[in-house]
Amino acid sequence: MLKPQPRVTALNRPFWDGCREGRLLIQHCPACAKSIFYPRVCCPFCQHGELDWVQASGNGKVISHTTVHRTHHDGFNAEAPYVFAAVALDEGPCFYAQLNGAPIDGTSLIGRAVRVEFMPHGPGLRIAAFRLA
Amino acid sequence: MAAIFEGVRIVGAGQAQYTKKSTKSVQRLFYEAGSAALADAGLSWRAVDGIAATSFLFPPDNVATLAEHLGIEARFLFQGLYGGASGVIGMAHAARAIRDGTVEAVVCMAADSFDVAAHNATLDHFNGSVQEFMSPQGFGGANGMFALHTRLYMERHGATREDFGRFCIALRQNGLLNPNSLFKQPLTMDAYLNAKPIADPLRLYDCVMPCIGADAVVLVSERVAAGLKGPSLRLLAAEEIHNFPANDPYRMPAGFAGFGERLFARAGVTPAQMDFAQLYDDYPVMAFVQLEGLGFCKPGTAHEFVRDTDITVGGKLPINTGGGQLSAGQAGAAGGMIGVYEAATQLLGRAGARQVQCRRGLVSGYGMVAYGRGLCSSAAILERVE
Repeated sequence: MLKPQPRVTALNRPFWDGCREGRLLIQHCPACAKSIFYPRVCCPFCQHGELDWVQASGNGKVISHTTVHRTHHDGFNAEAPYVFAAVALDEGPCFYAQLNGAPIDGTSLIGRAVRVEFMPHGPGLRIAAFRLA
Repeated sequence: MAAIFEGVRIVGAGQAQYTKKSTKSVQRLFYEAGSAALADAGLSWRAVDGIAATSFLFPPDNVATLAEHLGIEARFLFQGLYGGASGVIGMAHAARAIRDGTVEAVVCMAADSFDVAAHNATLDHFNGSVQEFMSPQGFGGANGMFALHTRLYMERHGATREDFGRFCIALRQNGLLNPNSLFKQPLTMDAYLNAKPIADPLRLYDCVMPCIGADAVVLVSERVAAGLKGPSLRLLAAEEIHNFPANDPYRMPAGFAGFGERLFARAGVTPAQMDFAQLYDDYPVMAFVQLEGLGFCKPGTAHEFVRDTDITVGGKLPINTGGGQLSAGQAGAAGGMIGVYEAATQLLGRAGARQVQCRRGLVSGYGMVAYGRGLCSSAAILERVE
């Protein structure tokens, strides 16, 4: 069964194009130098209206994580239980993704270094996931 | 100093029957809860000139079409867009409209007809950031989102599964005294700890059961209240805050610390003077965050507070005296109104077997889960007019 598909919009299209090319793109504010994710129409720190897209390092640290047993969508049933995490990208923003290959037994992974990878996700889409570094 | 909500009274509270299955529309649920609250006050729908209503299942209808459906000529309408924070916020907006002389009687209510599938489908399309950057990534729904907060709370503050369990068990004890609560059996620590895993560290009894229900309270002008036989309540203060702190879902998962002191200062009372707290208990960790942010205990100590304080109906600080969402059930957006109903029915002295000796109490709301947390927090303090 197909997983939930993101709505690809004019605003977030660079991000999804980047995933297809194996590049993690995030926004960057030229005015206050903050990095931004998810994609915004203006900088949520200083409200500057023109943001740049830049390639993130793909490295981050686990803020918190959960082993999902009961999925929110049948498209994920085949892979449950799996680990889902909030990751602090080295550039700053919080990013949500699956943590591939991580232990599902609840061992604390908070603070562990992770590295991005990309997985197929429906027609013409790839999606970012992470793996313990 | 004039009271914030001078000339405003809360005079009735009511619920629709909470059920696991029903074919009732949200309009019917609104009608049933509103009718019960009006009957509690000794009023009829003819007196109503304003409606505050919240429901996730409203679309394509809305509060204006609800007024049409019910035949109410309204001079004030409010539709909550703040998820579980909407109940308290709608009540505050209604109180302002009454204070300003715009209206005389407002029914404030929330209703939904949910099961697990409807809950997940709603949340999947709740807002853009969830739809694009959490759901396709496999967040596990609200359970997954709050599992992240629960794990972080445990790691930061040394809270244990047993601490959350104590909270859920106490609420179940309260809920067993509430005829309109869906859970009818006591919860044991063993059952809590060994329940079906949902999203580690959350297990089944950390998660609310989606259900069907509706809750309502009636606010009127002092002039209308003077013609009624029953007791009435004052709204001492109400606060809301959204997206606080900005750009940081994990320093604080909710905004209560952004208005806790201000709420009590404006009400002219202290947390110690609260005879109960009706907290938004979508997950036990969020009730902990509210206890801390609202000043009932110091930051990072709610798990110790719950260890050391009897929070059942007979206890030092009764919390969620009707069982809360965790034991009564979460009827979608009504989860943000059930605490308002419970606070009002307690202070009006109509809580039956679960009646607390009380003169004033607190109710809080929380909702609109977005990129990693609920964006909207609200709370109010109510007091019986002696």
